[in-house]
Amino acid sequence: MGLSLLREAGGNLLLHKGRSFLAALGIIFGVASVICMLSISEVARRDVIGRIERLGLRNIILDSRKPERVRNREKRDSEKSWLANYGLTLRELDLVSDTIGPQGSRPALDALVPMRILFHDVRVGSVASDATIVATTADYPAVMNHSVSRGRFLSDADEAVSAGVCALGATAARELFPLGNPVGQVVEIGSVHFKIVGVMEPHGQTGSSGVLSHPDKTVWIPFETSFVRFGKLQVRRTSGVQEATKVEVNRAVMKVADGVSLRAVASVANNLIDSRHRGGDVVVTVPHTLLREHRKAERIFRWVMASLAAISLLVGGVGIMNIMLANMAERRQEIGLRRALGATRLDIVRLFIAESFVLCLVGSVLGVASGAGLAVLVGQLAQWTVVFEPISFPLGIIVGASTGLLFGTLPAMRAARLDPVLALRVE
Amino acid sequence: MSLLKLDQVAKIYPMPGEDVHALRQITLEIDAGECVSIVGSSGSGKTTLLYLLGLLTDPSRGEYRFDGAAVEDLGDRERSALRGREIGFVFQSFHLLPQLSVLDNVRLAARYAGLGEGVGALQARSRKLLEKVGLAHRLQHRPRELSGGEMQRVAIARALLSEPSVILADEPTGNLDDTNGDRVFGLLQELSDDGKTVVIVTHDLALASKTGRMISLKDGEVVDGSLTAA
Repeated sequence: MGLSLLREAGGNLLLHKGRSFLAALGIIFGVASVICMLSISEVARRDVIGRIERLGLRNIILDSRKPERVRNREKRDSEKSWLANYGLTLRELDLVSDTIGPQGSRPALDALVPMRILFHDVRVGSVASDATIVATTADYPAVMNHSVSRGRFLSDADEAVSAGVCALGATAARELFPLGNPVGQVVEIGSVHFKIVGVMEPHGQTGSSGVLSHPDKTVWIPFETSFVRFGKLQVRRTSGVQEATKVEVNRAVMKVADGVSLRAVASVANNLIDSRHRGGDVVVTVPHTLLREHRKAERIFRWVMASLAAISLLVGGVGIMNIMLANMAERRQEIGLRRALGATRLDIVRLFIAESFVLCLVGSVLGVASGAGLAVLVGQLAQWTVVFEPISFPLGIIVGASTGLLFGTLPAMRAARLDPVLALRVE
Repeated sequence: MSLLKLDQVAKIYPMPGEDVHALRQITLEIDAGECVSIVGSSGSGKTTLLYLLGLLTDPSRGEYRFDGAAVEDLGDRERSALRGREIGFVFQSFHLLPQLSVLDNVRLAARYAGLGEGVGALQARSRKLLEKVGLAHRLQHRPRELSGGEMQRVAIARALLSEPSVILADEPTGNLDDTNGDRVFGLLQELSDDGKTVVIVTHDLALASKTGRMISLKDGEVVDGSLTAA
């Protein structure tokens, strides 16, 4: 398709600017929706994968869950005080660690980090935060791949002496100390004072839900300190009713050593947990498996997206075809004249296909621009960082322009088959 | 030897119910350099005959030879090339493209004729032809800005660009007043004098009588093909 032919096709389209624009609208909307949807799905994909990856792809997570019997009792005896005792225990963690055992000469686990959630208020003077209090050990940053921004994280020495120290997540630090440096300051957790030893880097959400999925809004204290300062039993009082909960470990994260089968370790952990927690109050999660499952779901999602895109472009293409058919009918005499001047049928096919190609090419470029603009707008409204797959721009233009070639063929063939004698006849 | 030769040519348009016989058993020879008019009432087959001579449609029966070559043996590409190079059309309703300037309308003829000339040479020759038909001052005008006579003169210049051996004119003065009609007919006669074969379809017997030969058609048949006094 020569440049002069494309220029001639463009000139012909400009003769009917309004009609050409309306014809291109279908392609503009089709390509724009594809670009916008690709961007939004890419944002969602990166968000989900990021959350899963932040859980640690070499990690196996054991979560204590409130069992069905406890939830039923909460509903049934909502006006009575009661005690709930469930979930992982420290002894079980030792058992898991011992059962997995070393792999040859080296340990199978790089680390095993327990976490315990404490339900207490956090405040500095009159400034309060609804941050989650999590008791954990010094290995937490390495296992969760979370780095320190200022000061340090909790240490083994803090653990050994049950020190009254804490580290703050980035959001919690900003809420409690909007202006100053929190390191060295004191924060009140429940009625106990803790000295802040460090602030963590922003990390983003991990996993899908639950208080442990917001590390930026967390205050960490040494694991042992939680038992020494707050006891094994946690009591919440609401409307005169006392809810006592005894959960030693809300979550335990095992980091499996490189070269050790994640599946084998997960299987051992699963068997052990199944045999001891038949009530379903401990759930084993393997982020690596989650990621694999997500990728499978993502492939299906991409097919759905591709189908939607194909339907949008099909509608746009049919619009182009209709307009080109109308064009052909209106330019009957011109077709006859060109044939009289020596144009072959192929010349006529080329001219009409060039016109629908140019129409769709321009429509696709406008579609890519408006789709990108729309994605940015949606991103601003939803307050997320807009991401574009670089391939989506050329792909949108190529697919849109190809739609022109495809749907321009029928009108072009009809134009070429027009009998010049009838075409030249003046009604 | 005849340049255009029809032997027992018929043109039938298949229609639901009954076929339309536009031309029946036409046998006709036109020599190179002749100026011929085709006359007849509406529906007599004049335009069909002209378009058939111009390779725009095929005979349903019989044989048509253009400069000795049997037309039915030619494919679309060869036939289109022959049409673009050797035949120039002039239509009653001009058929100028409204989006193009006068100069570009003339140059359009080169688009499919395969003239192998550079843009500059083509432009120069187009200008010269427009000068010849008295439109040197209208080069950049659009067709809508011209009178009927001027538009037909542009169409004649366009027909001449590929230096064809045959000019086929379908009612070239049909939409013009007498003055402009005479001027256009004069141009066509000049082309004939220059050695081109000119075939004119017309209703106007006075005008037809000025050509070398008048072929009368009635119901698709030649009823008279005599020489005129001209």
